[in-house]
Amino acid sequence: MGSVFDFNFMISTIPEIIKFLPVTLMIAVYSGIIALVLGFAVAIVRVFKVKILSPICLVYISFIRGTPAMVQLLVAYYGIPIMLKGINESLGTNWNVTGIPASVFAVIALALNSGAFMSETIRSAILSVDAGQLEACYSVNMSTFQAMRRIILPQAFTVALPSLGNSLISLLKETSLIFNISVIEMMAAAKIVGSRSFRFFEVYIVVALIYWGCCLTMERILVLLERSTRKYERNVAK
Amino acid sequence: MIDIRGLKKSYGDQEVLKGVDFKVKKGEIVTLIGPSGAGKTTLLRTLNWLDAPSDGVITIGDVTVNASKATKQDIHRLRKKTAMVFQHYNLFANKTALENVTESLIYVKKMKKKEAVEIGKELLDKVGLLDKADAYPAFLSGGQQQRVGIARALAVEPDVILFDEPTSALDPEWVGEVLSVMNEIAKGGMTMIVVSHEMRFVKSVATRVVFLDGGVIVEEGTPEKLFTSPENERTKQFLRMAHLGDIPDDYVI
Repeated sequence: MGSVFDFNFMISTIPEIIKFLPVTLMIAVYSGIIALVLGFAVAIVRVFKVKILSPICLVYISFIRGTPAMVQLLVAYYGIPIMLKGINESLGTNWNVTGIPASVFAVIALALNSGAFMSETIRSAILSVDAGQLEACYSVNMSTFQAMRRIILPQAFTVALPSLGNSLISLLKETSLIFNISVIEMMAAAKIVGSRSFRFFEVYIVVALIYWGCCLTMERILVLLERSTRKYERNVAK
Repeated sequence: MIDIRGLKKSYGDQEVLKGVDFKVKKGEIVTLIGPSGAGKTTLLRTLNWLDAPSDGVITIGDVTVNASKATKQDIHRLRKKTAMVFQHYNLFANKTALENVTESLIYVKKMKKKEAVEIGKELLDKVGLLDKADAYPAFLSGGQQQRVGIARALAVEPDVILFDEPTSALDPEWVGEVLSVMNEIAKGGMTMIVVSHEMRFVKSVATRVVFLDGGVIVEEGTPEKLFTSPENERTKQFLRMAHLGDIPDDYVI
């Protein structure tokens, strides 16, 4: 048994762990993009109270908010193949169920999870735009689509940005759950390295620092983005 | 040019307009007055369908819309004939003063950007705000915002501009600059319907004053006639309460 904390060992594990950062980032980026699109679509459905779709979205949001991300991940991992098998059997299709990589299930589960939260953020942002803005659009004869595209959504985006940033950061961190469905990403790599040496503490510190570094970068980008979108607002002296 | 028949509007059980018949000739400047809740603003808003009337027929120019069977195209055609100036300006917050004016030119009238900017600048010049073309609404004073609002309405080239209490949210010192712009437009022959208790405007510019109460038109006439010798008891009462008319008091303390 050596020292309590082996600093040199910790440093030596960094290359091995950071090698899997691209996997983590890839999954975060794909699920982030899908989540944004999904969240936006759900928000629009809810704002315009689209028949049939709106109650479905409500159930979806309720389910996602009411169950742990970990459970959703496992349900997707085990559930989607069974569902596809069922479709194969009943429709006579021949989809290769076993050939789907686990990371696909990870992306689906994370995107569904994050999309639900983002949809509420986007919806409340759209509703926060003063009704007078839409009236003004109609008063110069713009269509609802033009009003949304030109006036309402750009303003809603400014409102939603800080919370969306929050969701994206959470999403990046939630990718650490997916080692549970046998995707080798950063967390899984750390576990492997750790179990080889029984120095778990050091490797988890490494992982923590890498996540933190990524999130700091994201925060920085978000601050810059926010500054550029808020140019039409007046600052209040503090 | 504007012909409104049997216009009704209810919010739930509450009937705000109870069958309004109303005509406006081209070039007229009509002021709507009345106590709050009389339906003035609602009447104005039904004219460009910001509020959908429950019943009645609206004709503006060559467009006739029947409230009970209005289609999207009807509403679109009606809105083409009108433009609105709002009490709280409602400028597009994410657009500059110039963009507020050119927005409808580029995206509704499908004008080329260069052409639209030219017209936009012309209109801003007309309301005396060419130097503020690139300012966002949040950086303009109330009076300036309302003048941009008027320029935005002019860009639509409507048959009639609807003003919904255009000066009531303004500081006294800014009322004058907005009124003078409105006077200019009036002189240019634009048909205007104005909800306002701004006596300076009513007395100097309005060609007709309409008194609304309880969702119906109670009395109308030239400013002189309505303010000095109103016929209806409710009109008299309102003018006295609002200190608007030149009617002698019934009693002296």
